[in-house]
Amino acid sequence: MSCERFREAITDHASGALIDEAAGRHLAACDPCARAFEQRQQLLAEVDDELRGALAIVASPDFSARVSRAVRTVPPSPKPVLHWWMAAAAAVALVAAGVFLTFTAGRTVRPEQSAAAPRTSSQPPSVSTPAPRAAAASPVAAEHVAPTGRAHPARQVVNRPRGLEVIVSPAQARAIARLKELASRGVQESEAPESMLVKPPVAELVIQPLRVADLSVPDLDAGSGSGVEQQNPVKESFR
Amino acid sequence: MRMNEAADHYPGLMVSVDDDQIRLEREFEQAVRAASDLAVRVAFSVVRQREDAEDIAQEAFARAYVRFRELREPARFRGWIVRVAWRLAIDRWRADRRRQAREQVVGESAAPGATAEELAAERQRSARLWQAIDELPEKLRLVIVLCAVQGHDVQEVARLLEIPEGTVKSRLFLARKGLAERLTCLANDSAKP
Repeated sequence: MSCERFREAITDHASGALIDEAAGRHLAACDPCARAFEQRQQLLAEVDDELRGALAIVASPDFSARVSRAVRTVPPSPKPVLHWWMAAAAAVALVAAGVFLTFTAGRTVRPEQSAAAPRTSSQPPSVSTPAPRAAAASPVAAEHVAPTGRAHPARQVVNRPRGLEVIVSPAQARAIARLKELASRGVQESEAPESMLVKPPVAELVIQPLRVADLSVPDLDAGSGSGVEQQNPVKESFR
Repeated sequence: MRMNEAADHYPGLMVSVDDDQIRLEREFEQAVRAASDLAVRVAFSVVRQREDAEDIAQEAFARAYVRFRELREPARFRGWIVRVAWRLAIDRWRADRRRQAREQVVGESAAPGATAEELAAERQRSARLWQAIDELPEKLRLVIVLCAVQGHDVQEVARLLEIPEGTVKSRLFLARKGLAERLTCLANDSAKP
């Protein structure tokens, strides 16, 4: 009865499986099972020998040459090409990346715009007044230069304190950035070298005192004729 | 005639040679030399005809040549060749199954000077063995053949078939067990009057 119980474990062991402790003890003690085990092992050894002997053939000496001749009728291995599905996948990836970047850029700009929404949304960039030079170019304003994701390409948005938004020209933005750089270095504007200072081209109204000498009355001057300079009453009155 | 050969035959001929293609062909020739025995043995284990096995191996190499740029790595090439040669051999074997004239393997393994009776017994034993192998499922059959060809190097067989070593071991065990049982049955059948 115990031989029947361990038979499968013993034959499996002969085929290469591990054997449990009980079956191993039985195998060591039972002669018929030990003989069956040896017979099975011998049979498998013969199988291995037969297979090894039968498959020990080698290719003919001219086999490689025959293969070389045969492959000459075959078109050579093509160089890797861009398959249509690769192109399609690349196009899809490109579009997805573009949509993602657009969406991401829009989201980063919106909070800043919403902070100053009452002022900027009703004020189109083309009609906005450039900031005065002193205000735009001050270090305080320079600290609040915001990245412009969706602003007009020729203009940049400057966030001033209390959420005030000023639209400046690119040249003004460059000047602000330069001042910001100076501030980060701890250099005062007055101490900075001339090459570091870029004056923003803001239209200025220059008021100068009017001098009477700059005025002339052509009719009166041309009508003298005699070479004797006559007193012009208008000029005199201005003097 | 290829470009580089044309240049050899006509020294004055100006040809533009694709260096990459030449390098590829040299690598292919080396790969064929390294894997030819393996491919022939795998095919022979199925068709048991040397000429058929070499034809099958040659066809497998021709297919490999077409996509050799993807198979430049030697280990990958050998595994690919084994699988393609096996598949081609199985297809050929199925097509020729009705034709029973197969070369008997015993002629090569029989001892020299054996008597006619010994030769007949050896032939019968070998026929039984190959019949038992043919009756194994294909997966088990390929594993036991490759283990015999590779000297029971389970790691190498796993690499060739691109399967885990544990799978190779379990398939090898099942194949050996099935072979032993089938051979025992065949021996008992032949012993009956």
